[in-house]
Amino acid sequence: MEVVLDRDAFLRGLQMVQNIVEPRQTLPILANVLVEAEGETVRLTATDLEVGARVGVPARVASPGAITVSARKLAEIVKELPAAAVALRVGENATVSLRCGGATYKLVGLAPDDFPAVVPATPASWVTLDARTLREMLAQTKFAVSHDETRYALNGILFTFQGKDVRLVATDGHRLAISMRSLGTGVGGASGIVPRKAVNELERVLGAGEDVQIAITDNQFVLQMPNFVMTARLIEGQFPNYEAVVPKNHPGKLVIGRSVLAAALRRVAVMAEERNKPVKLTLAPATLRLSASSQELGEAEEILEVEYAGEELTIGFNSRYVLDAISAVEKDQVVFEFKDGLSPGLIKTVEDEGYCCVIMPMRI
Amino acid sequence: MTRIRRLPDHLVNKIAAGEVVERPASAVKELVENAIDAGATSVAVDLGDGGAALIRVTDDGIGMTAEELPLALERHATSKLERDEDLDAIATLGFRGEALAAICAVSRFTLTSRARDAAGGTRLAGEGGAVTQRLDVPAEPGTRVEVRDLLFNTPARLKFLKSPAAELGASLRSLAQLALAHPDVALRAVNNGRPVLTAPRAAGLRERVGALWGWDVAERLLAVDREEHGVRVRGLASPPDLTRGNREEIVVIVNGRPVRDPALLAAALEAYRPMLARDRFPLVVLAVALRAADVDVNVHPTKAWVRFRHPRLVYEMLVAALGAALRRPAVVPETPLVGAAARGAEAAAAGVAEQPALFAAAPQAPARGLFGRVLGQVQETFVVSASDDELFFLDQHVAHERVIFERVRRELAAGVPPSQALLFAEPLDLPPQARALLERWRGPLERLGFAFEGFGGDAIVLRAVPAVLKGDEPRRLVEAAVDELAGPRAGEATLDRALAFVACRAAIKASTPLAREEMDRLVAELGQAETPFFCPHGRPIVSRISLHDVRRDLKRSW
Repeated sequence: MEVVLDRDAFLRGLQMVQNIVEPRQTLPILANVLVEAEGETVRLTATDLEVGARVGVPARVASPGAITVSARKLAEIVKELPAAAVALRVGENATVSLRCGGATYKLVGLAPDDFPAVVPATPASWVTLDARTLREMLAQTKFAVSHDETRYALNGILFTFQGKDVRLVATDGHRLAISMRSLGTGVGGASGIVPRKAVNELERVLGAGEDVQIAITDNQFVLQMPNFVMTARLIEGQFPNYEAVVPKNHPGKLVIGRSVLAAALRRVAVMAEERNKPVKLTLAPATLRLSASSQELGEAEEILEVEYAGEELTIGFNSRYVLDAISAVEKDQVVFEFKDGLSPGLIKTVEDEGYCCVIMPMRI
Repeated sequence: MTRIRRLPDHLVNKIAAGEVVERPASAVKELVENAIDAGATSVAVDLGDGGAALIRVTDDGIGMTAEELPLALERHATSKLERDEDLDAIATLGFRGEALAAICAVSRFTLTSRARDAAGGTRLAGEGGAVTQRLDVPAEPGTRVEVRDLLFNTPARLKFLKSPAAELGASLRSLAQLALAHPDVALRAVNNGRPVLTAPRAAGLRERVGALWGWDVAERLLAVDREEHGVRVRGLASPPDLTRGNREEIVVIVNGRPVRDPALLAAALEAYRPMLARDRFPLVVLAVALRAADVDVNVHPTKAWVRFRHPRLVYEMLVAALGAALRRPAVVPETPLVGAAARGAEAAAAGVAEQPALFAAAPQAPARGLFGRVLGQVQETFVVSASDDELFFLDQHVAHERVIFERVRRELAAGVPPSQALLFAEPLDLPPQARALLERWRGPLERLGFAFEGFGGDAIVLRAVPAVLKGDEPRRLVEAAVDELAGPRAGEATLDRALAFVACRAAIKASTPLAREEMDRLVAELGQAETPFFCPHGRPIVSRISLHDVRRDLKRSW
């Protein structure tokens, strides 16, 4: 194999796949990136057996072939190279020589035969949506994904395609975030839980404007962009029946500026216990009182004038949960709905643009 | 003829014997107490079949004259009380004047005594309380009481005697307690010709404990000493990692008298409570000294129970004295560096070699707590810190467990610890046994922040978990709780056990890499903990290496 690539394009390609490589692997070859030269392209592939990605980089291919080399080292090298042509050549015993300007490297590679294949499924239909929309939906749900490895069904985002709706749902058992968008066209019916790692990678690779295609098959999530494909094994497991816990018709409605609430919460939470940052909300017509106290630290209180219609009530929340929920929207006005001190709170945007977050209260 | 009669003396004595002489051990106790009251420096006890066949107690005390000796056999005859007021301030072990009479009433006895200044001794022999023989004999100064066939004339009681081994055990228990109460008296016991207890005259309690419980034990015991409000508590107590499976080695001595007081026992256990594994008990010898007028020993014929004028004060003093001893750093086993413990040295060297840059990076130490300044982490399990003269290896899991335990306990004291409601209420499908257990533990668990619903119905539903445990899967949490809390013992501090469970689950696990800030914080918080050396289950938190030893090993003498 002998190829010449443009340094900038090579680096961009490497950066799209390199993060999939885990810092520690069970198989040595998983630390490597697969470099395949064919036709006018060099394809770079990385996988950790769960998530895989392949990117195509335009290149002059003098002789086709394939090799694997350390993903980290290759990325480190290319990052430091000057903007010039990079020549790659595979020599005896899977050694790779890399030349760029006056710099030469010899890398120890591994034969490509053992590299696990990354095979994107061929779905019956693709859902096409704007990269920006998908990125926004991910941001509106990702924060609620559980980090508890034992609850594996919650370690990802549930993607549901139904009718014309695309819906993303995440929960960690204490809060639930739903993001929904209606597309102009039918999207078929499919659903699957996409693991957190794939979600993180998605956010990295999604650009600003272009359209992307996504699909859910029996066991795979696939994302396609020009010259790029990413696959992720779906999490097997039962996602909880989330629709049942979304409260309907809560009588108390608090309408408040997102930044006002966030700033007040942050101020008050300074005095809250470190781990859960519990903050108490006391609601009365037209006022919201936020308070936090900790035995060791002291206490804090802030009173806001707000738009609130409903019964007087006191409810406690993990303030991080509330901050996460309101940070995920772009509109400034949010609606916080309550029933009583023990029932879940519901956060939406004023215009209800397909986002809501359910937060369970804390007894404080 | 009237039906109500005055009982003849021998019957009265037999009835008194029923209270005083329950089994050979009680006779042994009374006789040895008499010897100690007589100012003996050395007491020898010969037993036959654990005391059932023979009890012979020989002392070198002041002895009795030929005139006094017959009186000693009469009930309510004693040299220990003179006036009414004496009863309010009893300084001797005995005072009722009925023990010897009672013992002689139910046995075949021989009393030999020679007063210190008398030319010769006197011997009385008899059975069932009646003297059949009186002789002048040559004798060593002191008294020898020989009791054979105890309870021979009370067949009902005799039948209740256990095997000779069991009776011997009971006798030895009494003897050991007396030995601990009087370290300055040499005590020797022989059973069927074989020595069973040898306690030479000791300079102090530790020496005495060494003779009775073994030297390795005695060396590890912590000294307890506290005096306040006219109550002095002194003694020895085991560090929490040195325990026994029963309470027999918890001995409380009040003014020289071993007592069996449930409240005092509870006080000793209370001091250890947050540190001991379940079913484990410490080794404790505590001598409580208070004004004789503040304690009433005249409560029970065997004098095993006492009554305090200020019981709460004595209880609190015991807890405080033990607590203070347990909080001292000496509680922690120090890893010996010499010989066998070369491993410790290697670990220390590895810890230092791994992180050489840290020394340079942090030249000015942050606030130094009990455990000095954090150096780093070894095997992702142990946090290593150093003070000026010691190196500490802290087990991160148990250390964190202790910190959380105390924090939640403070929260509990102040109100309710925060609890996180669950979005998806968790139905718990439990076997009946686990259900019953959960129901019994429901109170303490709910105080800690769990919320259950549906007891009595078909399925129990979990609605909330303590906020510190919100990261755990709720169902597994409850299953683990059921496992952990199974088989509780009556009267145990249930809330603390539930709390220990919560702390254990919430604590960082072993094999978790920690950031430097996390370690700093953990070590600082642990340094401020009430009991920084043991986790709530009783596992030690820290292993220490003295830098002095390191210097010695490296032959660095400057």
